[in-house]
Amino acid sequence: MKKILFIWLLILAPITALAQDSTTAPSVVLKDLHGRTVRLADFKGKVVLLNFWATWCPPCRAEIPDLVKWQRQYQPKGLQVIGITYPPTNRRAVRTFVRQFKMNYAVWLGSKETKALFDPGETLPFSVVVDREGKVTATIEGILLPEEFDEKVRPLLGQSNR
Amino acid sequence: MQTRQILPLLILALVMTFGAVGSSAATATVTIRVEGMRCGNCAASITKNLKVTAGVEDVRVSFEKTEAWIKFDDQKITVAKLREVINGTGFKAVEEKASGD
Repeated sequence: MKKILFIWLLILAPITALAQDSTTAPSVVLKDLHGRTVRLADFKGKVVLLNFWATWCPPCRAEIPDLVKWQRQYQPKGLQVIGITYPPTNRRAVRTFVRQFKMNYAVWLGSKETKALFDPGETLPFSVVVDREGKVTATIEGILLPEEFDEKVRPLLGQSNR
Repeated sequence: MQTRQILPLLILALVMTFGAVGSSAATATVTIRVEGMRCGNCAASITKNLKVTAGVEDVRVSFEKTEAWIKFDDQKITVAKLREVINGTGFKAVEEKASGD
């Protein structure tokens, strides 16, 4: 009996590990606009909406007002929007942009490699939903539509942090 | 007796014929020139936002030609509204070459 159980464990353990790895958000360590080191892992317990964007990308600019609204509306429920810039990036231009668009959420300076951790393509904007456990639950290409937010982000905000 | 049997079939055939003509008449296409498409990858938002718009049947966006070709039901949506959707993605719909199908 013990032998059978052991064999089952041997079979199941790698499968379980693989399943966990496929959804666990990769390690993201970047600098914010103040030059401070920031880590995605520090946001475990929150529902994180990573938004890859660029100042030169018209649709990225178009979706910012919605991101600002959702951050304001759902922050008390545990939402954290994090805008990650995509190159070419000029830090001063980003700062000006953040002020101009009244961006009320975190903005980190990213690279092509940062986005490649989640998506091999170059489509912008690109959003990643990370749940309270640090798992990637959805990726969204293009402007994040209100219907998509309702379907992919809001249900996670209803769940309390365990 | 025979006329009584044929008449409903004739009416049905007429309704189906005119119905089909009516529905095809509602389909139109338009090519809208779009300004601001400097990156092919951000143009994906134009396709996405148009495709989820009620009345839009097909969309092809060309980064090279800087234009969007849209097949739509002109009884459900107007060209002006299509331009609004494009403008809502941060680009600028500047002019169109309309053509009914």
